[in-house]
Amino acid sequence: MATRSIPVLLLVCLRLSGIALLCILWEVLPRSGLVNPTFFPPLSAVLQEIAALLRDQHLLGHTIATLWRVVAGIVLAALVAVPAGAILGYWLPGLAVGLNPLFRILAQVNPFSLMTVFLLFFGIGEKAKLIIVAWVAFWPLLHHVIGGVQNIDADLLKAARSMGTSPSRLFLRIILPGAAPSILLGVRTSIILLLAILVAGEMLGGLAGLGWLLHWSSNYYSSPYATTPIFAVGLCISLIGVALSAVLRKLERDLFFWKPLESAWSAAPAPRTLRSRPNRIFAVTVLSAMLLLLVAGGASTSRLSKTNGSFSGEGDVPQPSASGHSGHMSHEHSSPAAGHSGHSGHTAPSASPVQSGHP
Amino acid sequence: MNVLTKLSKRYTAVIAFLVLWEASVRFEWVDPQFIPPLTQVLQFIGEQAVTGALAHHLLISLGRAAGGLAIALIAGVPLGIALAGWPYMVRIAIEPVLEWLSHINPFVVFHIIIVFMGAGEPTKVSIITWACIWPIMFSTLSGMIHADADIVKAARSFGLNRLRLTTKVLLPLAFPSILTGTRLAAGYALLFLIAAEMMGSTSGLGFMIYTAQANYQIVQMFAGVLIIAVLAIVLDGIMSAAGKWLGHPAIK
Repeated sequence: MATRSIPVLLLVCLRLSGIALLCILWEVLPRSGLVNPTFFPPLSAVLQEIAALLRDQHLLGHTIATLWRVVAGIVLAALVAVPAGAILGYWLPGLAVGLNPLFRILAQVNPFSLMTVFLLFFGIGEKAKLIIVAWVAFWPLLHHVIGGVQNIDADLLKAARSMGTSPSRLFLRIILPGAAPSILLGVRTSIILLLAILVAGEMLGGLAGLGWLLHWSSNYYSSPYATTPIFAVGLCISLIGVALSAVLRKLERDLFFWKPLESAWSAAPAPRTLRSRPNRIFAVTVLSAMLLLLVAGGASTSRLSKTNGSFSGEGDVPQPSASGHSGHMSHEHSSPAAGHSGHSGHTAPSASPVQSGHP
Repeated sequence: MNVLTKLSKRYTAVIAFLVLWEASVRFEWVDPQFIPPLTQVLQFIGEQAVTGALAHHLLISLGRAAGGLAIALIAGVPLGIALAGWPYMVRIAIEPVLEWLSHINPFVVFHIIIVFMGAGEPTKVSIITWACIWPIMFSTLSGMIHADADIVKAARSFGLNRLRLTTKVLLPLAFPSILTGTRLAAGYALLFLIAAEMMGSTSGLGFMIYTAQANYQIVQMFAGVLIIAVLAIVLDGIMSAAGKWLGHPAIK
């Protein structure tokens, strides 16, 4: 299973061929009736649905809301985890060992179960959802920061200390750059999980975001295929994940150019162009895009939440046919008696399936 | 006694945290309406344990998590093995497809299945399977591919055929990696299970927590949180012990 060097063009074609084949199959199989199109609508129908959602349902706004929450949640987690990890990893290694069992237990605390507590502490609104993402992101980040700090070349640290470097300078100049690859890896490995958790959080109680839209779309039937809206929103969510992963991977390649590329797909590290300095152009672009997103995205998200909080009957939702779509429980916590049945037919959300926060 | 001192030394931080929890509520550093004292939570768990209501939810949740994880293992490990055996060119073509599939949200899968099957058991188990299969599959693949080349060459030169090479050499070499993936997946399983049970279920720990939240029974809520955390730690401990027992002693 040795890696042969393959011309770049062939590599690109190969990479695209898998995706292309998948798209063709996705179009052809439902159209030919080999797969039930009600269950699995063809790609073109899904793309049309995405266009319709963009037009009628603020799909772009919801996408920005979800993206903003993920990025803001990770940034929030990193702001706490990086200093804490640096202190524990470098200045207090004994304490880090002692605290490890506690961290492992706290990492298993389920954020959904604490939603009510978060709401009590932070009020209804964006904060509670951000805390959920930050909570889930925090533990793997902390783990990677401590590991990264402890793997920094000891001679570097000794040299810096012998020159009388102040702790703050040591942190900024040596510990942070030294642990950065590990930190980025921590973010990249947990990004799928974070997105999934966020979408669940938005489904369980939110007024905006792709999770909310997914929840909405599952009660909404567009002809001719029942599940098209779900596929459309699902495709958007997965593309966000793919895009975030790709950006993070490119950042790793650009900034840590001295690292051999590890791939789960090939034993030998892939050949790479030799650089002598990090490529910072892309990183700066990403950073500015992130800042823009944090500022503008936050504003747009709160605006969208407000419209959804007060909107009624936008895009009148047809009554689900009695074809046995067991809907979801409506999240009307105000009337627990209305039940956690989960199996009862859904009252048609013509008044919008807006989920109120917890009382 | 020796074991006890060892344990208490190791878990000093945990014990300190629990004491701090109790103290901070008792001395009203934290509003007891937000966070109940630990003793109250433990008392609630004790009462529930006697009536058996808790055990019922716990067992149902455990069954779902274990079922989902088992299906993910049964499907994921062979998939990883198959992928590792394919030619490099094919793997290059397939990688983006799998990468994309792994980004498909379990809750999207949940919604699609719910339309056709309702929110029954298979639907909840399918979420967990979907979430767990990716870490298991990728860790299997990675373990097989990164197996020590010298050992594999030696085995080949002894004339092992593909099947025996896989079962006798590659799988034992990949075992630590597969175990890591499975432990990660088990964590995911619990996380997604609770969310799935909150979304549509009439039993299980997630449902218990959901009703506690809806009726604002904060003690019951924290009891659920505590049980899930302990459950996760216990599961992880069992898995690492099983790994030590099953794994090849020569392979670290």
